[in-house]
Amino acid sequence: MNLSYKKIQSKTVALVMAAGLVFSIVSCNKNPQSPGVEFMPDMYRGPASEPYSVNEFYSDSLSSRKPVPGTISQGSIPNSPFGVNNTIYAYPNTNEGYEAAGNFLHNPIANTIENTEQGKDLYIKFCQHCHGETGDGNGSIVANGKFPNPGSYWSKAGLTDGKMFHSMNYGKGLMGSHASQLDKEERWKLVLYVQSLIAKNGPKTEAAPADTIGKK
Amino acid sequence: MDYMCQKPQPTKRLTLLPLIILFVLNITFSFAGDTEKGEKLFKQNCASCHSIGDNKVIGPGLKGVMDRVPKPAEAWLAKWVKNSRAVIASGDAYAVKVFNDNGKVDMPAQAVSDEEIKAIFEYVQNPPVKKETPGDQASGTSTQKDEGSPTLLIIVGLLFLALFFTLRTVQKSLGKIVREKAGLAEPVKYKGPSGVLLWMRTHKKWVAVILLFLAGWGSRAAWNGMYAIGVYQGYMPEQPIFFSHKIHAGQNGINCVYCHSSVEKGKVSGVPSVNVCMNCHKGIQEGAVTGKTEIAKIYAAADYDVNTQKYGPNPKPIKWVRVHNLPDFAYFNHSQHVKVGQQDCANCHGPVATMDTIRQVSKLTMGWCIDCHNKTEVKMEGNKYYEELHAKLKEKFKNQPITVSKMGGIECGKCHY
Repeated sequence: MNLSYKKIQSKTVALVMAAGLVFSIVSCNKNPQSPGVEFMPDMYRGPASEPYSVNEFYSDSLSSRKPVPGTISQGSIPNSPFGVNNTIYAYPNTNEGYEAAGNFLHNPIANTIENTEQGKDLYIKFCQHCHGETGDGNGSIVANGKFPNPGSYWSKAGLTDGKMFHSMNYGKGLMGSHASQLDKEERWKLVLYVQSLIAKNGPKTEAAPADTIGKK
Repeated sequence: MDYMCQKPQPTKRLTLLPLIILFVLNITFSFAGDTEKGEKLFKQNCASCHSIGDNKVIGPGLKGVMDRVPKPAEAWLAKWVKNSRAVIASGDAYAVKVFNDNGKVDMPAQAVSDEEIKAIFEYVQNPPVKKETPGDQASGTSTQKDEGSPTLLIIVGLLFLALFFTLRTVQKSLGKIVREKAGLAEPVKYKGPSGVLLWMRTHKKWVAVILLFLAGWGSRAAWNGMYAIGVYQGYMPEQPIFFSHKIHAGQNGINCVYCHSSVEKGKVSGVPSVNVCMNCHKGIQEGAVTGKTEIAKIYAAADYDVNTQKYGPNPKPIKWVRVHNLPDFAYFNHSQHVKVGQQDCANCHGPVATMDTIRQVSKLTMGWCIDCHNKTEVKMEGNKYYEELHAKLKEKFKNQPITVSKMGGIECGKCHY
């Protein structure tokens, strides 16, 4: 047998087999840290800034910019004829502002079934996990012991619609401001639904005579 | 007979024991009653602003409060709880100091009786020692194992290898014995690279089979590899903060829209800005799984000081890694699908409420889009947008379900323009 001839051949065989093995392992194992192969990146990524993308032009690298300080959005005047969302909220974030809002600010949105239903939809998404389905302050995150009970709506003395709006606007106590998640109209719809919850589940003051009738 | 008679003796004695235990427990329970009642009252009325420890939440922590307020402490606290404003207005030096130290936010008057106040401070002074709940521990360990490790597979593989080699040695030694008895020659040994070639020459059929198998395997791998170009299914990058959807959306039951609030209003379902995190994490300063390290990253991003409860001037953006990303040439609008189309988030994003790290579940390829548009019937009832269109389409597609595709949902220009 010609040994040198064989050796070259067998090395090639081993090499081909090893390459096949490596290829198959590489193509099967996907690294979860990498999205994978991109075909024609120029078409995948346009030159325009995508939401939340990095823009190195600014020192904080944020492509989403805030409006210049002092910017007034279109039609933003007190008691705007252009709808609730364009009205300026004039009460300051102080104890006095809270009381003043409670006394003088009233819901500009009509108390209709449709508005209350939309308020309910918003309540499920934005309030229920703390304030609970019935408004008793025992939501899912309170029930599992992670967040303190905010108290029922009816335990707060003199909770007028203006005070509710003020609390959603600036936050109150441990609750933060929800102004970035809910526009003004949505906040007023929530006020409508919370008032319907209080009427439904709160202490019944008119129920006293009914009780005495029952006892007889 | 003897045995039968003696047997009931010990049981009689034992019946006393549970009674004694019950009696003792009863006494301790009646003692614990006050703190238990106090705990309930505290959680309902006080916990949203005060902790029972040292740390400040909104108001100061109540540890050792009985020692620091003016004497007699009980009477002073009762006055304070019922109407703090009146105590401040009366010019009480300590009350004014507390008011000024806590950002001049006054404590609302609480509707509780003297007895209830007594129970609350009973609890504040002697809070029951809490045991570690097994549920928290379990969730902590399960998060580590969430993705399923290949260890089991490796162990099974090793076991099979061991079995194979033992059987092979048995076979060899048995063969040797048989050959020795029959006086047969030793079989040819294939050793080294030249041996491989020799084997290949003498076993041509086997070589053909192996080559065919390798060719099939290789082409399949190549085919799948090409299909995977531009498909990011399974992408699961590590995020700058270990944020677990399993805890937030799953265990805590927070609705998706609470944080991704622009999903019903715009094209992009927004990643929440830090102020949304702070809505809860102003209060929750320690996580069940990661402790304080990950939540501290939120405070760093918001430039928030836990001790003074103030925001600094240098917030920094958190650089979340985007997981679901469509190429620039495909238009997709979230509000169109979630608000108008009433699609559930999980239809495309999968069981997010069970994931610790977000993974791309769906393919997000064009075929995947079209498949869904072909199948999904449009819910037109109660949607004013479709009123006129519905009447027309009903006439056009009599007795057929009206899918997204039938209203032009697979026209090229709808997504590519």
